Amino acid sequence: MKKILKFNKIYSGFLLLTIITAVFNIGCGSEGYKKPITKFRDASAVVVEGTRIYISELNKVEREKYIFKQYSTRNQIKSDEIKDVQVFGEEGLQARIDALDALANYGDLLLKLANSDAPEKITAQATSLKGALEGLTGTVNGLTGSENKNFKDAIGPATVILGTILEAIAQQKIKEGLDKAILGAEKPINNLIYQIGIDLRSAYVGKQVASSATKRYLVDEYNTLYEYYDAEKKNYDIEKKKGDKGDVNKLTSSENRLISLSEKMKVCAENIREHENRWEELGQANPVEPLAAMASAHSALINYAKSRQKIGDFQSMVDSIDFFAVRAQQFGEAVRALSGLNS
Amino acid sequence: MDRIELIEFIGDVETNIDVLIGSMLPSNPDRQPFIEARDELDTMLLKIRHDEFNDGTQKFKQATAELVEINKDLKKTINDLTKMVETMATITKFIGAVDKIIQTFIP
Repeated sequence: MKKILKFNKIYSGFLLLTIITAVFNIGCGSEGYKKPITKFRDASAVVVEGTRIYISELNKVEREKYIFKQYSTRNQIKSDEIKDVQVFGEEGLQARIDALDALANYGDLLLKLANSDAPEKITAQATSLKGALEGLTGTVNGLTGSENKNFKDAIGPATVILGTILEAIAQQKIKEGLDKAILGAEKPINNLIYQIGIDLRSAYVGKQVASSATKRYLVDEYNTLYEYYDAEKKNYDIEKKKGDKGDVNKLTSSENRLISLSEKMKVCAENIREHENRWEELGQANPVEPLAAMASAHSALINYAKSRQKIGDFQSMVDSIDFFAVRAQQFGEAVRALSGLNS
Repeated sequence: MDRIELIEFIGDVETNIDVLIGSMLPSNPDRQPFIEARDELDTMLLKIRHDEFNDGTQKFKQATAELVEINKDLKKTINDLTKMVETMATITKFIGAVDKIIQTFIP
């Protein structure tokens, strides 16, 4: 878990370094440098998308766990209780998704700057993103509740600095925007990513305990049937031992009940098997490893930028990004498989 | 340990209790206290997830260190169905320690 914290501290380096890359590429147009940066950005997009899915599913998971529990214990489902178990309100959830979108768009914008000989072409995108950020600020200002406090504290400074940078880009003052980003964006973006990372980890625990509870409910359903079956089987055996002296109707009824219970047990066993497979997928979809890989790739990127493009550091950066890209791909597949876990 | 690590820690303990409960047949009366304890812990977990608080204090570090010690005891017995009395006692102790954290940091 410390690795995630490390990731959060380093992630802002991605954006910073992308900016540095932009400076390098605008200046010297190094094709070899653009490839790993593009790969890095694509892998980051996968991890960001996985993060988005987790946050989106958070409320759903909590809700379904409550409903399943009420069913399993044969208790009343109350609408107000469904609302109570949700961690984020509708607007809080949307604000987090919007913040991730903004960060992804910002990274995309900076990449275009890095790859474009005519940065004025992207001023429209910068203006559009700036508008989206203003909308996000409005939404965040309206958020209440202690669960949003740290997120609000984190997003305020990040949107302010991003707004300043985007304003400069929109006015085609590219160097000024880049300077501002290099000087001031690292910490606020770092804090914002850190906070979203906390939400993600909390979402993961929510999913873990919900899945664990669901598994127990399924096992209970099976074992309840097993206990009925076991009792019925004893009655059946007693009746059968009576032979000709026994009641044929009783024996037939008992036999039918055993067949019916057996069929129901088969369905339950299948549900358990299916859930166990998904439980394994939950382990595969743990975001800790891809985020740690992302952190390592960020570190390598930063080291390369700081080293003024030494060949040894370049190879190290390429290796780290390759590893990260593979891990991101695995994570993306696992998240897709997991998205049906509680459905 | 910080707040999010505490959340993960409690989540793991809940999962272990689920495994223990699932190892007993539904008609086993010994299950009920574990189910109630699990539910209580789940409610506490949701509260800790829902309410943010200052986890940077020495007092918080000490409180969570106590949890780690209790969990060490829990691990010794939770997989042994012949030691359910000891396990329940340790879980009760664990819940008490989590409750103390909530009372102190989320008033």
